[in-house]
Amino acid sequence: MWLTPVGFVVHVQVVLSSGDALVFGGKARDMVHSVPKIHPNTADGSCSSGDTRVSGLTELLAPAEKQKLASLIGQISPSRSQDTLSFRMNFNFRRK
Amino acid sequence: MKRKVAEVNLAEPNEKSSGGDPAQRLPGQPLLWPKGVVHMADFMPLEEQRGLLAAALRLGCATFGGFEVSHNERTKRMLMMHVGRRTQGPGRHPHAHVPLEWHTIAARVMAAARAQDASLPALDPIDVCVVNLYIAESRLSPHVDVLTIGDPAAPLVSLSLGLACDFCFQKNWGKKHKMHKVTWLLSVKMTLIFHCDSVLSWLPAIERLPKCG
Repeated sequence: MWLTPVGFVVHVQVVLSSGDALVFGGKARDMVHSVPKIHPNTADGSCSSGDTRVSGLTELLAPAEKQKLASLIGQISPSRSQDTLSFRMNFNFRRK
Repeated sequence: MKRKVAEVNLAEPNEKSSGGDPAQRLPGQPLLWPKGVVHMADFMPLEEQRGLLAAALRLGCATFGGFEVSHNERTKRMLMMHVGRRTQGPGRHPHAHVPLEWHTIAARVMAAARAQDASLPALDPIDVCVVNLYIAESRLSPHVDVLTIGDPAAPLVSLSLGLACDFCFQKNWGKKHKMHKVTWLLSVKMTLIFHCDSVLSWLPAIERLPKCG
């Protein structure tokens, strides 16, 4: 049996990589959204673009900045090695 | 890694979206999004990403108002920082306003997005920036943002740095999209209509994780 799901939306899924920008507004502003998975293997440059690797980003940080990052990561993952600076940071700009 | 999109019968598709094979699109070219959504891949050069990251680390390590652990039913193992949200009181960030450099980047993103989709309203003023810090085990469950009072259509600009992530959305929680309909479809094995991947990956979207720390 095949039914045509007219007007029925399940969901859209896309991979967001380092340096990507996403804007939603207007009728789409109240969309239901989530981040169900972080791709841990993208830290070694396996992203689609060569310049979006985390290793390149963290290597540009000064030692003191790396220490801050490690300290923050340690708050949510105390057992993590201080050498592992795998992270995702997401900036959301909006009006109040 | 190939960027993928599993879209199903999107209502009101964005007329200027490229569609077709997502892997074939050029940097900055949007995927097939509904109206009001613009995705620009590789928008920020690495040096600009570094500047944003460094500033966020500087502000985020403030004694008050910096990054705070968020680990609850909606967020798992995340740190969050609100810049510009509280301008008074004990919870306010020492940097009460969005830094000028960040403001400039957000305005540039917004201009590029409006060039792609003219239906997007302007974002003015840009007075709040919520910064989320994830590790590989972090999750953000399905939710709808708290909308701007008096202007619920005001857009949100989201910039990503670091690890790649899956970002999912559906149009809304409205009557047409109740979850029990999805359950019913699953029960009569209709998932192929929507591509198994898209339906099955939504329902268990938030995995249970061992208790943090």
